[in-house]
Amino acid sequence: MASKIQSSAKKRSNRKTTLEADSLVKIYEGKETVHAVKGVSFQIKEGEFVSIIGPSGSGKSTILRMIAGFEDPTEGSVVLDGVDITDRAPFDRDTNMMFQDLALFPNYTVSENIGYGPRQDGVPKAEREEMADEMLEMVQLEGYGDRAIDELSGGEQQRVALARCMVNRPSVVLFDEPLASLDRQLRRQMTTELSDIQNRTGSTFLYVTHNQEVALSASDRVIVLNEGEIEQIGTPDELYNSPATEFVANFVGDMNMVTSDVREVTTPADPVDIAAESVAVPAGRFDGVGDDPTSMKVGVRPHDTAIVHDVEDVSDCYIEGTVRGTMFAGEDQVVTVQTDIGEFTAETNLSVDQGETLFVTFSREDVHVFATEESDEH
Amino acid sequence: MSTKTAWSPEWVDDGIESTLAFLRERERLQLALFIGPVVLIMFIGLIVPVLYMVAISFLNGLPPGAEFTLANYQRLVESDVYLNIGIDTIVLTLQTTSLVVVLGYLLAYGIAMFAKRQKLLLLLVVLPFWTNYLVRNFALIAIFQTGGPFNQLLSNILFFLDNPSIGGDVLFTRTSVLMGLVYSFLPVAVLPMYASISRMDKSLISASKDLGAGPIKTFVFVTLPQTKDGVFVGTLLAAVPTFGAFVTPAMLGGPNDNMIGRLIELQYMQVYDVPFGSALGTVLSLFVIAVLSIGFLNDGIPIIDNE
Repeated sequence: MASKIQSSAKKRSNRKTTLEADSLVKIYEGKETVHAVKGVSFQIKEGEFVSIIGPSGSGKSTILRMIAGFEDPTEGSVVLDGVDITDRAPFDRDTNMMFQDLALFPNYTVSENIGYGPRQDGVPKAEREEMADEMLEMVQLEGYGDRAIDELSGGEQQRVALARCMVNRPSVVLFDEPLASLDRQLRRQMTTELSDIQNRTGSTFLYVTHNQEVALSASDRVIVLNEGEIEQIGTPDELYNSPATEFVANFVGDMNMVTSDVREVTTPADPVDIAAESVAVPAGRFDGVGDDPTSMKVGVRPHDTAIVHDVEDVSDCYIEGTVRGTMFAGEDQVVTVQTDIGEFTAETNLSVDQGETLFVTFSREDVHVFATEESDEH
Repeated sequence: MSTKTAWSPEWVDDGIESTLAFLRERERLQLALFIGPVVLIMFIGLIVPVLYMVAISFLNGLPPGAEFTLANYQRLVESDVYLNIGIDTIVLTLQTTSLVVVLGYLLAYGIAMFAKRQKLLLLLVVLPFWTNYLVRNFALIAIFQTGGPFNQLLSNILFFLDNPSIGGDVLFTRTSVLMGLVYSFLPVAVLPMYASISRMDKSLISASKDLGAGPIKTFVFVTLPQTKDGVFVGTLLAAVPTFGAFVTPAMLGGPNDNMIGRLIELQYMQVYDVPFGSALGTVLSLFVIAVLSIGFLNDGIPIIDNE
């Protein structure tokens, strides 16, 4: 998976830029002035699948709506295919959106829904139906053209909505969490299909979601948004393996996080204190921390954390703790261990008992270092 | 399941319980209990009088002692007067209904889409109903009369025409009847249209615009079809009472501005020709039933089937 993403990202790196958001700002004036988006810039290349993820209220839908033309940016601009479209009406932009509630027209059949866009461009009826059939084939709903929208299941409606927003072959297809209402299994299936369709058609996708699973499995690049600002832009691989901030580390996958007081930063080989021990962490992990931090956050993925009964079996870093709880997770179990410096979760196939004393251990290669949020000036 | 409570004696509880148990088994009886009273009232208050009216229309006087005759209907057909009044009524109904639906839709759309205090505005829309229909028509006479506010306003706006009588001649004309009818039935048409517009999924409008349709196309292709039930009900609520209206034409219209409703009222209350009035009433009812049937058959029953 990861290698495939990297290769496709490489393949696309020399393509032209399709969409560019330049320092987008959105401020809602009212009783309470809300800074929904605080200067967001990014570029999307032709044929790329980019996701914007972030918790609710992070401004991701607002960004999407500004690109689609439903919201006017307070500042900044949207450039599509080299043309500034910031002030254009939604119907005058070469973008199409798949809405969260799908917004299929209940008074039209499946075919008419898909043909709605071409109809506005004056495409004759016979041709529209041909286009609709082609789209239905793409989303594997052959022969559904004459059905009414309310005859379709939730998953089928999703496919029709997808067909409708792709039939115009827009420069960018926008997705506003359209899969949020589906159950997990169907959502996975749709995500795979979305990814396939995107690969096959070479379309450019911008996908907004709070569901990191969808974003990480299908996207070429992911934009992580928090409180109206971009925390990090990168491939799913980069986000998971080298998160730039504590927020990204926690939002993309899980992370055991402890605070570390820095004793000295003079020797780069020995910089991080975990409990009373100094741990040498590979160089290049401190980029986000700044030159002279007084304290740092140290994180390890539960996936990279092991537990052992015997102190002889530990790797570079270890700490003693007692088992607080276990959680079934398929083959492995997730064990929560209380230590002097905080709680750790680890994935293990060992059998452990509640209250048992054992050792949490991890390799120093897997240690991530972050600036503490307080000193984190954006 | 027990309905026992501490607030009533035990024999009452037992009685309620056994009655409910009895009813639980009998679904038709339940239905009859719920809709029965209204059906009874409608039967006594509507069906029986209408049948009585139809019967009288075939008599030469009031029973007892009246004999069967077709003279009332003959009289209807033989003279152009009644046909012309009928046509006038239809034209006036169409004009009123069109104005009511267009103005009412604009109002309902504005409230549903843009207004912040929707409930207050709806309250203001139905405010005229707090006054009596007759009183409102008297008020309109005061407004429309020569030298009245309408007259003054119009001659001030059209001062360059240098004709002080403009707007002064409006009372007791067909125009004042039309304005009176529009004023009377606008509120009833706004409510169903407001309901359907506010119930409509607003993201459909976004979707339409996103797919390249401008505001007008979006309205024609999406908003109007989505709210047609409300328009249908609004049309019905305005057209049916307008068609049978008699107070407004009687008070605001001139001698030549008769409507069927006014004609019937004249027969009953002033000419005392009840059989002929009944014949007119029967024809009017048949016409309304015919028009409504066509409407309902073409469109299902949108009032009930609103999903």
